[in-house]
Amino acid sequence: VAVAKFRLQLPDIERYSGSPMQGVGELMAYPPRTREEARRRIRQSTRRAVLGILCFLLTIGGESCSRGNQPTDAITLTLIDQGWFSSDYQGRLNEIAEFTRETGIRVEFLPGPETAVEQLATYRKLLESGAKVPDVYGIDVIWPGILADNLLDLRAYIPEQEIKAHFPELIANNTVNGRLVALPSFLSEGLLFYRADLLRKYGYRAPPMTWKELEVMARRIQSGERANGNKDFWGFVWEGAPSEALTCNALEWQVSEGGGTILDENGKVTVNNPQSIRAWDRAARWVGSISPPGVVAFKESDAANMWRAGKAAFLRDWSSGYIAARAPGSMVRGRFDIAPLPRGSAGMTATLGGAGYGVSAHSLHPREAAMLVRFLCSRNVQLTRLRKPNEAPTIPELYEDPEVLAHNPHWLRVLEIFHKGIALRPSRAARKMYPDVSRAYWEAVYAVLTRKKSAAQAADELERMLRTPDVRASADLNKAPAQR
Amino acid sequence: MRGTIRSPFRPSDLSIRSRLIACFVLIVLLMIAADAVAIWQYWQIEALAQRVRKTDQISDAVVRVHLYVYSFRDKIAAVASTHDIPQFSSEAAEIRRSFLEQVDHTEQMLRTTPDIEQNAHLSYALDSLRVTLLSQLDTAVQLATAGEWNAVQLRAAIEIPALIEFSSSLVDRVDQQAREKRNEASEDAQKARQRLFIIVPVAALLTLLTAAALGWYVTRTVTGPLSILTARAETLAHGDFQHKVQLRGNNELAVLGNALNYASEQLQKLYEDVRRSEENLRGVINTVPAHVWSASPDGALEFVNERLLKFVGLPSDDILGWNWESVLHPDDRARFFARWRAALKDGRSLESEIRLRRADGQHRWFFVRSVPVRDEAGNITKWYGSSIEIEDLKRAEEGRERLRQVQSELAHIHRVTTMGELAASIAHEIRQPISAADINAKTCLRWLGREQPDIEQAREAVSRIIKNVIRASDIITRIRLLFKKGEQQREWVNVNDAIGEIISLLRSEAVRHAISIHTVLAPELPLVMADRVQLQQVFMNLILNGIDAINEADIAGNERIAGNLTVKSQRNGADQLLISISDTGIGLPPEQADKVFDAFFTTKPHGTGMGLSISRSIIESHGGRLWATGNPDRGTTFQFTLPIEPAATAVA
Repeated sequence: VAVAKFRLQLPDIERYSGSPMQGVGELMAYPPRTREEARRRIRQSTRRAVLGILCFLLTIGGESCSRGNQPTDAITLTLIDQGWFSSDYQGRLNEIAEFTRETGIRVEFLPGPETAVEQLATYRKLLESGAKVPDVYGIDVIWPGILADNLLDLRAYIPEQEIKAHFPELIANNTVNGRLVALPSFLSEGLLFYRADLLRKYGYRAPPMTWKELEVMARRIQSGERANGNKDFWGFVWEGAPSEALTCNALEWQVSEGGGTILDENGKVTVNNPQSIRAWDRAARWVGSISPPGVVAFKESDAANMWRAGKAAFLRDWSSGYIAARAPGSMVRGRFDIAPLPRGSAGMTATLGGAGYGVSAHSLHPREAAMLVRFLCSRNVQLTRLRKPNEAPTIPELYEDPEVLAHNPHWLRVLEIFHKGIALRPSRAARKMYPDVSRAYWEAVYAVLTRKKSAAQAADELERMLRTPDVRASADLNKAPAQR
Repeated sequence: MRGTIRSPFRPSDLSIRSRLIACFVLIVLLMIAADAVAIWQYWQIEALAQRVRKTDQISDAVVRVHLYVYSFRDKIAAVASTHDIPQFSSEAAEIRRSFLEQVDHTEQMLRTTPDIEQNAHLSYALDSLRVTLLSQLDTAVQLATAGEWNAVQLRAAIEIPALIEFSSSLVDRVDQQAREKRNEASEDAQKARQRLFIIVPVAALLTLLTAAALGWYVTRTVTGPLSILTARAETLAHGDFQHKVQLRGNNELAVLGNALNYASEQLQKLYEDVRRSEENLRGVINTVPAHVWSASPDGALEFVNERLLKFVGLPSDDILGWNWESVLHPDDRARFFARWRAALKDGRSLESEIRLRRADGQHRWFFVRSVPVRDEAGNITKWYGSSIEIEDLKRAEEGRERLRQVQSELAHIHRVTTMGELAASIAHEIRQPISAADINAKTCLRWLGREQPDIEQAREAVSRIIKNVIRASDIITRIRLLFKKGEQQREWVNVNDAIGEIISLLRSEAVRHAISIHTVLAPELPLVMADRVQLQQVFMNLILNGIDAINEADIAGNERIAGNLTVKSQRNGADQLLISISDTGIGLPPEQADKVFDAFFTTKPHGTGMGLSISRSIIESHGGRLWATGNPDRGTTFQFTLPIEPAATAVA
């Protein structure tokens, strides 16, 4: 009867059986009426205590479990870039260190392969397989159209005025279907490097204005130097190896003659024309005359190496080559100068190079990656770079800084060329097909240079090749998703 | 009671076996869990060591790649200086092959350790290194093929150092990674070791505590109900059937409790039944018309029924134990004690007649009978006894005894009277041998009186004399015996001999009346236990009765027929002898067939009317029967039976 009465008084507490503490609380809040009651409560508490111990054991296990898989606190970004072949590798590492100091975000630097083709192949492999790393890619000026699908629109992360500070041409180049897929970080263009001392020696007061003049001067200096015992001296070296560099060289010859940029802005094939054929023929004439027969195996560094080793009078190179030529220990230091590339019948022209940074659409940390891009392309970083000879900035304002110009006097000429006669490779029109278009183009030119085909035949075959339905179709197809 | 509100699970629903099994399983599981945690920690330490080893291997592999890249420059430069294109090409192919081998090996190792790869992105770097070096190689071969040896040399001098620098940075990175991994691993291993040192004792302690708690809990859930059961069993042992054990649940103890409850119910019922039947028995014992008692093995009275108490008029305390001797008749005490003690000693049942003092002081005869009750081993546990009052029986017996004496005396008187009547015949009977002896004596004298005495003849004559004298002496002895008065003397009697002796006494009497006596005696009859004298009296009465009947027929009838008397003895069934005496006398009217045995009834003018009556009483006192039947032709036959004692059958 006593138990029954007690039960009536405590119906709710009887029903709950929660934590061990609750049991104890119950015991304390309601003193037991009978011994049986007390025993029963102790029994409940014991039951709960046993459960508690079991939970504790499980927690020990669980805790040490989770400890093993804890993510590191700091975010680590991975940056892939041209790496050790960029002119200022160490400078780039310092910049990254500075970024980590400022933001606490760690950055792993991953150098890419040497040549643009190899780099692009690697990038595409990574991006198109959805790799989570790298987060940030160094994007060549010809790649935005190719990689756009797997890059983020940086406008969502970077203030408008910072974007506007860059050359609008570059921003336009990096914008695909209204999405800014890369922010420019440096500028590069084709230039003529010449041995000012030799020109003076042979009575020339100015660099050649036309291709014709270049040929004459080169031949004269070459024969003169050879007569002086410099047996393997050549007049003009350039990048003739079948690679993207050959596309750039050939485009300059062709565009300066008015031969067009292979495809026009709408993707129409324009390559098969007399101006182009004339330009290719002229270059083919150089091989073995003013240029070494092996020039058709020269990549950028081979030509530059030879010229810098004092074995040539003229060099076609990127504006960034200026730094290496002026570097302490260079044979040509203080004995050379730069000039716009010679004119053709249509005027002066230079292929645009350079690069920027884009963020992978697969990045786990897009916000932080965009911060890194913004940092690397920022005015301050570019300015810091410019405290010593460096690549040309992409922010026009910097070209007016006297201190900067003191370190990089050639930039005024670079800027002038940039404004006057820049030639864009048809990467925007060809989009993903660009590597194929470019390959077809350089192979055609290479065949002319190595006398395997006549220029007319090569141009004709190239045109037919580029017009094949396959190429057209895939070019159209590549455009399609972007128009949506 | 609270189960209606509490959770449906109650430990008491589980059997003790299940509870114990559950506890053991729980403890074993805890131990396994603790061991698993320990093994897991150990495994973690192992895995860390493994990872460090792997990292070192990768670091080694990367260093090898770096060294290869380093030597690559020298090889290129060396071969380039020869300006030998085919050698350069084949050398380049060899370089490509072994370099790819190195890189593949490293990449393979990286694939097995994804964490290192993830941190260092080595495979990307290796990829780019491979692509770059191979492209350098290709370029070099192309330049060489184009004959640009200068360009090859310049490349080896300017571009490849960058490659070396890069691979060296790769080594640095892997080294750093390896260092980090090693530090991390040793830190983790240290932590894991510490955890192990904590977890193992803590888990052991917890397991121990849990085992103790569970042991305590299970023990308590068992001992609690057990003590209730014990208490209940004790109260049950003290005869309390009212309380019930209240144990909840479905376990063995609850079942035991229910069984105990049921048993106590049954016990109560049984107890009730026993009490009722004991009451009945007591009633029976107290109302039975006898004294009933029981005694312990040593002879002390333990129980007496109310009838005995009422008889002696004493409270039970004055009777129980050895107090009962006071109610014994002083003359019987010594005898009864002796017999009672003997019975107690031998364990044989006792039968005795004793006198007990009644409440009014009178002594009454009782027949006491006492039997022992033995247990399975044969030991006496109790004596049960009863005593029946035989006072009246005793009195009747005394009366019968007196009657017998009277009868015996009457028979003696009758015998003497009869002998008197027979005096002439008996005298004749005696005279015969004496006369014979006289003649023989004379003959002897004659033989002796010769000149030459014939001794032989004389000796024969003398021996005949001796025979005659013995015969006479026998007759006299027999007569004297018949005259003798005294107590009945039962002895083994040969019925045929007894008959012969009587006939020899009565021969003269028969001859006197011209009656011949025939005997048809069955040989080898068993002896009977009887009074020889009385039995011979019966023979004599019946033979004389027959002679008288024949004489009467002579007197009444005209023609004289030879009187015959036939005495027969035979066995009648297994247990009695039949003796018959037939005459050819006057016969007996059928209505008088039984009357002849009445006292003082006689058909003879000078008869006493006592002979047949005495004869019947003698036969009946011997347990036999005497009756008379008329013969079909003439005369009467008297027959009587005598019981054969079972022991007598053997004696022939």
